[in-house]
Amino acid sequence: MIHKNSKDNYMDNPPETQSFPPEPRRPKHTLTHLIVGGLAFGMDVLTHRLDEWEALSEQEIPPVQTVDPPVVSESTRSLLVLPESQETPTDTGRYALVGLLFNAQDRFNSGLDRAGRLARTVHHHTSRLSKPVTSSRFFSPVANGWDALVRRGESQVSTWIDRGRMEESKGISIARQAVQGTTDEVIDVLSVHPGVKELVEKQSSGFATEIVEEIRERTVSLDTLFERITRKVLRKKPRTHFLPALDEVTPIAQGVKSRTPVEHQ
Amino acid sequence: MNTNPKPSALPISQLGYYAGFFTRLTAFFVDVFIVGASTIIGSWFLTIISGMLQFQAIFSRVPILRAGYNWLVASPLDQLLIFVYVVSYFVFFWAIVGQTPGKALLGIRIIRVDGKKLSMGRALLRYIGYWISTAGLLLGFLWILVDDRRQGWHDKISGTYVVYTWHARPDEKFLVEEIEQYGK
Repeated sequence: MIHKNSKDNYMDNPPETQSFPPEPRRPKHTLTHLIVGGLAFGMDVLTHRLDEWEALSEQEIPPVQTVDPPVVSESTRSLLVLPESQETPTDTGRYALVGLLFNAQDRFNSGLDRAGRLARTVHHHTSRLSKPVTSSRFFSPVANGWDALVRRGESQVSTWIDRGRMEESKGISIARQAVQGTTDEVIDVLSVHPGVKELVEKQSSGFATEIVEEIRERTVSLDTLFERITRKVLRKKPRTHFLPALDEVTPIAQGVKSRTPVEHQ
Repeated sequence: MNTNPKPSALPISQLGYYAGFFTRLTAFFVDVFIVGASTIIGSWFLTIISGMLQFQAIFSRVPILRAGYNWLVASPLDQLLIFVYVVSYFVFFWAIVGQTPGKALLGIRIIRVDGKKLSMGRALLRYIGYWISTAGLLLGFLWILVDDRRQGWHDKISGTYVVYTWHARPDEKFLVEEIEQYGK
């Protein structure tokens, strides 16, 4: 929304302190805020991550070393056996395409720079050539009109810039709140929802029980194995029968939860 | 009371059967780890607390306290405390719960030969039995491997058994190998 006295406001207040009157809340504006803020926020995060990954990859990948081919005389050239290339034609083609992509990007950037420089040079020369005409009295009404138009345009743009600055920061704040709020809500649902809670508890306790049972089973196996080895060393018959504990022992021993015993052993 | 139980083939579940050497050894190592870790953490905590309360600075100002403090530092009190802690750990758990945390993890329990719980005196006797078993070049512990009731010397001295408290059975891989080697 553009205010009639926005130019005056801008002149009186610097951009940082300039304040706009409170607007009525509009869902469409909030959505726009969210989109703009999300884009800005996302781009910021993405750029940051890309920088990190780039730095990491540069650390990890060793620089490509180019080795000059040895000087070989014509007589010995035929005796040399060239090492077999490990790259397939598909690999080579893929590398060529990737190289082309990056090269094109570099060329596009350098082309933009060149175009900018050219535009500045053209403007410099044309303004020098047209200066006698544009600074003449005959041309002054047109020049004044043009200057007024430029000032209006500049004022309009600066209003847009201020508005954009404010709205973008607002949008980023909304996007951040949306991300944080959604994450918190998801975590709340996961932690409070009885079904999810039960599932997590069951999973973790089941996993712990499995590990403990696995350890116990293995130690029981090793009990038998150790005894067998000892009996072999002592030249005693392997134990095929086990002496059970007293009848009174079993009820005392029970009480620990465990899987039911296997049917056949 | 069944005083002479008949031996049977390897049961489906060894619940209440005598626990073997390796299970007991593993449980002992778990207990040693718990005692060691808690001793280290406890002594570190005490050092931090005494540093915060400036015991040394306070005691150094009063001659009697300083002398007492120096005597305490020079004496083997810390070692005595650790020894008491270790003995208490085993005796307390054997007598009150019937199993130490390590034994609970491995699913074994100590009982008297008549199936009852251990008294404090019997638990202490069993601990002394540990030293006797160790003194005989660890033969007292290895005795578990050859004894019919899987008793070590310390078990025989204190009149105790160690039994499985769960449906103990070997793991499937071991069982398959057993069947392949010896037949059903």
